Amino acid sequence: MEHILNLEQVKKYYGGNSGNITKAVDGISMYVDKGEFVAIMGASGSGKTTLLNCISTIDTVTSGHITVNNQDITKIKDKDFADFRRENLGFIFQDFNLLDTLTIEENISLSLVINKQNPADIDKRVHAIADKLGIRDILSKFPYEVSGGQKQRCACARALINEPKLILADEPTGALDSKSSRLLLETMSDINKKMQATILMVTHDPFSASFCERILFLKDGKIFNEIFRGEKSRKDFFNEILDILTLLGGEVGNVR
Amino acid sequence: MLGKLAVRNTKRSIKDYLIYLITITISFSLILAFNLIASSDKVVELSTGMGSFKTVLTFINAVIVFVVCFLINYTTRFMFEKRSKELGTYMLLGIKKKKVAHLLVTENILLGFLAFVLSIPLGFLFSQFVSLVIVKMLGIPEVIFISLNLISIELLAIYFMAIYVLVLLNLLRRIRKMTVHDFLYFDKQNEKKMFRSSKRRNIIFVISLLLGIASLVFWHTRFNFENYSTSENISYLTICICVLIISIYGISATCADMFLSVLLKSKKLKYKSDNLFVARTFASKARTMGFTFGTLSMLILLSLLCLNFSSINKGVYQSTIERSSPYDISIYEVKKPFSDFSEYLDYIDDEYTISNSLEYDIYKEPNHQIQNFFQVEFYDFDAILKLSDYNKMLELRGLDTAQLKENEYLIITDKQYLHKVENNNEIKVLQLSNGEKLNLKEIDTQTYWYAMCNSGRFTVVVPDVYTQDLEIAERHLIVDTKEDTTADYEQQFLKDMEDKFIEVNENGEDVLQSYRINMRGTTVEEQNSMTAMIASICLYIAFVLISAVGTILAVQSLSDSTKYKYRYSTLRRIGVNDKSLFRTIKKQLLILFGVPTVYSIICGFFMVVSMNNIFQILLQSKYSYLAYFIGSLLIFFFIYGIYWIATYIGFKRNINEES
Repeated sequence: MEHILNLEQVKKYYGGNSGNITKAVDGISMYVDKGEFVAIMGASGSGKTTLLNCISTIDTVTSGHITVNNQDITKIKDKDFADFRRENLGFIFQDFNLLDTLTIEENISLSLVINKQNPADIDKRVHAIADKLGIRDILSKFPYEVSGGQKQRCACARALINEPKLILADEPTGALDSKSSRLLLETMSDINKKMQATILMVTHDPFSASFCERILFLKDGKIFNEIFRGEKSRKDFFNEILDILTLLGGEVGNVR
Repeated sequence: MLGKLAVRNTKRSIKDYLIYLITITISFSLILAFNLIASSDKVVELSTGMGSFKTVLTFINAVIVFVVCFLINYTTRFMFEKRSKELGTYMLLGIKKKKVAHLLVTENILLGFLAFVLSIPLGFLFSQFVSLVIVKMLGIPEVIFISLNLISIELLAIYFMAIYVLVLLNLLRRIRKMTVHDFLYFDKQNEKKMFRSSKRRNIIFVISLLLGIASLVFWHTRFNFENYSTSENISYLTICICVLIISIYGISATCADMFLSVLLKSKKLKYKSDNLFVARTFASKARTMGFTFGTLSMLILLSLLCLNFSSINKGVYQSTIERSSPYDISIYEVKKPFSDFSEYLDYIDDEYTISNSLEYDIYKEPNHQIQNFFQVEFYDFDAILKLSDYNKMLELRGLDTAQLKENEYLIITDKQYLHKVENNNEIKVLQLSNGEKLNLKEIDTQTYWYAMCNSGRFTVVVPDVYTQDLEIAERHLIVDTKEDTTADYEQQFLKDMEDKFIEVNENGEDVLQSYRINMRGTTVEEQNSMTAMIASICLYIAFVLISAVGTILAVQSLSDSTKYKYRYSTLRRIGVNDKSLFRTIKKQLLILFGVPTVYSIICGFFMVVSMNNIFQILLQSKYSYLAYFIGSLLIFFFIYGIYWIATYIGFKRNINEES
């Protein structure tokens, strides 16, 4: 199968000059195939977010290579980053990052508008995606007028609208209650299956992770373990995750 | 879409930055108003002194533009930092950095342009008001309408553009250096503490304090008549000011932290009512705002000095007129043969009703025992006045006459030269050229006036008998008229009596010695325009400076009220009722607004006390400056207070708003 994302010996070190080096990401190699829903788990400080930031071009790597859709992002020039992100990546953040001066509809369509797409086409696509995510009714509202779960689904729609090669989600359920979390994860799982969207999600919540097909566990900036869901039920997979977390020595407190 | 975004963001910003918007609008309006006035021919023609108004104003405007630039730059940077995450999101969505910068620039220009447009009608209105004040001060009954002219608006536009080009270039430079990561995680950055070790902080505090005291003491020593007029004084004063500036920054950066550590050491103070919360909230602000606090203190000090200067200027008004022209008209001649003064009297009589007139002579005493302490390099004699003439002059001014025994004499001089002869044993006995000896009775500084005698800066009054053998140096005529004289009349007088005032100099050129005539009307007019000019300009500067300080503090506080809303909802949750919550906020804002003023007020006070050494001779009393200082403080706190109240209202609204 085609690798959408490929990492080769990626390292990210902080604080070079003072002699106190923090190895946030320490030689990680991994891949994500097209249409996969992969989770990265690990305790606080294990390097999850740094890794995601490197993949999403928010941060630069110290060494190693990252390719997205066969393009080496460590070699992209500064001025081309914007185009690259727009064409290849979709983002979902823990705290939504919606623009509060724009309505939900405008938030979703923003990147298409900047891409100068045909307005009629934009409208069609926004409504189609809003239907899928069940946010059609709130399209004309402003972010502060809707619930957290709705905001995150709006962020999902915004990430999907470009049909990006890869969707990067950083603790998407972090700010949501359990009902909204479940709804969102079901939606994500749905878009993964029905729309063949490739999703890489960083989380420390085993419940969220149990919706994925494959989970990578990080510890001290290295890959510690990798498990596949395969034919297991979600509940069994969830228990397996818990076992690994126990082994990792933490995060069991988060069991729901 | 980007345009729409910019407009919506601007709209939202207007709500957040209303105070800022009002301040820059008013600042721009004032700049325009003063430009309009300076360019109005009618105002410039009002009096002879108004001509320099334009020149002074150009310089003042440069200072004001600088302050407004600082304010706009500060707020722009602040808004940018507050919105960095939003900007990062744009970039993640694939909007190019260039476009993000473009968006930001558009927003800022929209906001600025709004202020610019609003300031035109407002400035026009202000100019009428200022013109009314000036006309009133000049004592002119008519009202001058200031018309709107394109050049002044263009000038404002140039200032506006200069400010925005500078501010936006600075902003773009910042953006260029930042990556998406910097944008997204800007608000997560730990605030930098200025001083890591408390020992270092304490040392800096003590050094700054000592520097401050040293500069103020040195400043004080420069403000006496012996040092004041020396040529190197200006360099010494500049050094003082530089040292004081360093001290202000040092103290501002450290004192809040110092104060806090003292407060936290005392359990009694720490746990008293809301002290802990207020102190901690303030400290978190003060630690990162040290440099800004320094700048704010500087601006406050400058505004206080301006306000004081304006009051002092008004205070010296009457005494300056009295010292320059105690009589309606005075004329003197030095060249012999002296002309017949009845010609002057006849001429004056045509225009005015003469109520009194007096001719007197100044004699030369070649021993120049007293001139030795004044300007012996210019005049090789002492200027002598007859006691009888002196007494007549006193009578004309309604003052008590002087009495001298046969062997006594008086020195009349200006207060600022008193140090030259005061307690001087060498003049206790005056040896006249004919061998007579006179004892010094007293030195009088109250009755001196500039045109009393032209040869030096003092006059010796002796009993009439001693002047018999002396040569006459100057012949004076003083005239009091029933009507008030005018500056125009002086011009007319000089024109009609030209032959009496024109002298041929060494190069054979004709020189009009207009200084030999002094008309009270001219002095009054000059003083009026000086007072009007200085008072209006000082108030203008002070207003802009105080507003800049108020705005920066308001913008800071209001943004904190949204950013740290949870602090107040936490307080509410743990059972603090609204009344005491608002009291806490009030206290907190009071401290934030109050702290930068403390050191400035102390420095300002000592500077004014020192300056009073010079100014007191012109002021009604030795202590008038205290009233001026209190008056300045009242004006200062009135304007500052408006900002404080506006901030408090905004703060309350923000924390009450549903999220």
